[in-house]
Amino acid sequence: MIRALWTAATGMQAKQMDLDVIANNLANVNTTGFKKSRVDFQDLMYQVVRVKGTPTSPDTQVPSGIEIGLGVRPGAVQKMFSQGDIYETSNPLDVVIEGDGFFQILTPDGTIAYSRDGSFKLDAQGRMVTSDGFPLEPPITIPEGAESVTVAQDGTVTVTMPGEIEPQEVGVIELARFINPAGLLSIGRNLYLATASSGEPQIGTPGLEGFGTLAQGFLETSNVQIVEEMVRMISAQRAYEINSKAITTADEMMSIANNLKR
Amino acid sequence: MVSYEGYPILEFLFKKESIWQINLSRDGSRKTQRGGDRELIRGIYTATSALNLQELKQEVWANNIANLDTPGFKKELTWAEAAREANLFRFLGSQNPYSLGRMTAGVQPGTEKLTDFSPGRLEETGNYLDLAIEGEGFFVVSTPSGEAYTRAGNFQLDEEGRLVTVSGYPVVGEGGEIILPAGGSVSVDEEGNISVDGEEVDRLRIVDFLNRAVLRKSGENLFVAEGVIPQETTNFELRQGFLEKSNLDPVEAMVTMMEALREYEIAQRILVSQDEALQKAVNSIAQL
Repeated sequence: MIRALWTAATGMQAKQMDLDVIANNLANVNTTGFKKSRVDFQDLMYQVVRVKGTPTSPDTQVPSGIEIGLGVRPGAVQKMFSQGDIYETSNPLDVVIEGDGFFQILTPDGTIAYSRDGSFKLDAQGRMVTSDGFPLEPPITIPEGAESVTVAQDGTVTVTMPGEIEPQEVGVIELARFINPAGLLSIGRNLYLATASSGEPQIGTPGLEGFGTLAQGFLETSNVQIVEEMVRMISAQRAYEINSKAITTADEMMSIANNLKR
Repeated sequence: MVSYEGYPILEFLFKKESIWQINLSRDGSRKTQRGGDRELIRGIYTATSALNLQELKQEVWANNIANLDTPGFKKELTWAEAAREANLFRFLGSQNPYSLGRMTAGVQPGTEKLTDFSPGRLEETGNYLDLAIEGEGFFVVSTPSGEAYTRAGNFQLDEEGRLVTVSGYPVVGEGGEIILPAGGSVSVDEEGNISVDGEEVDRLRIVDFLNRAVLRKSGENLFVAEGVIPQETTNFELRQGFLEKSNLDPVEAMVTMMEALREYEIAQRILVSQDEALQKAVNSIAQL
């Protein structure tokens, strides 16, 4: 009976974690380039009460035995890197990746982080930076007084200076991609870091070798679907409830057992 | 000497040595044994066996419920089976023994197949590495302790591009571990052929067992079959972007728990009445 209590408790804990992840997905429904997460559950180990194949007579064996499972645990919280919706902003510094790839961002401690958020700004030196002021890598500097900025599909950034007719190239946005993007470490601020499980980044030009292409004046929304999250929330809540009923039932049975002796 | 003819409880108390039981074994042999000390409290043991069974049932269903959202989880069932029957005989002095009839020692967990392999509900996830088997069969997974089998198709890639389970065990195809080249778009057809950008990479091994009762759950959504070699099957359709969830029906789970609780309560009442009757026998009648 004590087993049933702890087993159902693992179920309640798992559902709590499920709800934590759903809440974070919903909180980021309007975050540019946000990728939703999902909890993958696994069953825990089994306690063998009667071993399969135990002889019951010289010629017969127990055909299937008795195993009692000890509950559930979250196996992984996996990021889902499906494409979010793309919407137009008409801001020349908003760039979206259509397809596979991440922008490379230089963080203040010198490591390269990766992002799907292409809402760039300019800092005091004219560099293209994220909302937190972290510059793109390789850096792209827009000269002061430039009349227009153009980002081509292949990542080439050109500017037109006043009085000049020929546009002038100021840099190329390169993308990085990973064999296993789900293995990236999320560090907040729409940034990810490479890990042993994501593999080494492969750097390339947008539009070539399977990398996505860039589009200027658009942004990528999160890939969170509100209806889907609501349905998961309902199912998580009900699963939480039914696990608590399993605990109540076990508790009532123990109370009945306590009343065996008056 | 007090006559206790007609008082069955007193007969149990004072003449227990005259009751013998013959156990009928499954193989047909007979074992004769004296009723012995358990005579007096036989009913208590019978009720206890029912309490134990309902407790086991509640434990098994608590685990089923905890795994309500576990992909590929197959629920466990409990079966009740009457415990071995015994023939009771009474020996009175020089008379021929006469039969008191048959009596069982209560109930015990059944020895039949316990895992219900019926299909779980399919849920669309849209994730290209989520695979569901519609029909018969299991995915083959290579673990450090040998091959294991699973119905949970929530796969991922590791840093080398291998298709792995959530625990990192490689999924096995016809050419061994399945390694997907980076970048391309992965598609899996209904027969399990994996292709990247239209180019075939490997085919998933889907196997089945003649007798699935040999499968033992080892946690991490895996089944192991000690020493039994499965055969390849084609009796399935693979669905990419879908996951098979557990085959547990929450309504059934609630009803089973209520049933277990009430049956437990009934067995407890029986035990308490036995106790009350014995209390009368020991304290009240003996005062005569």
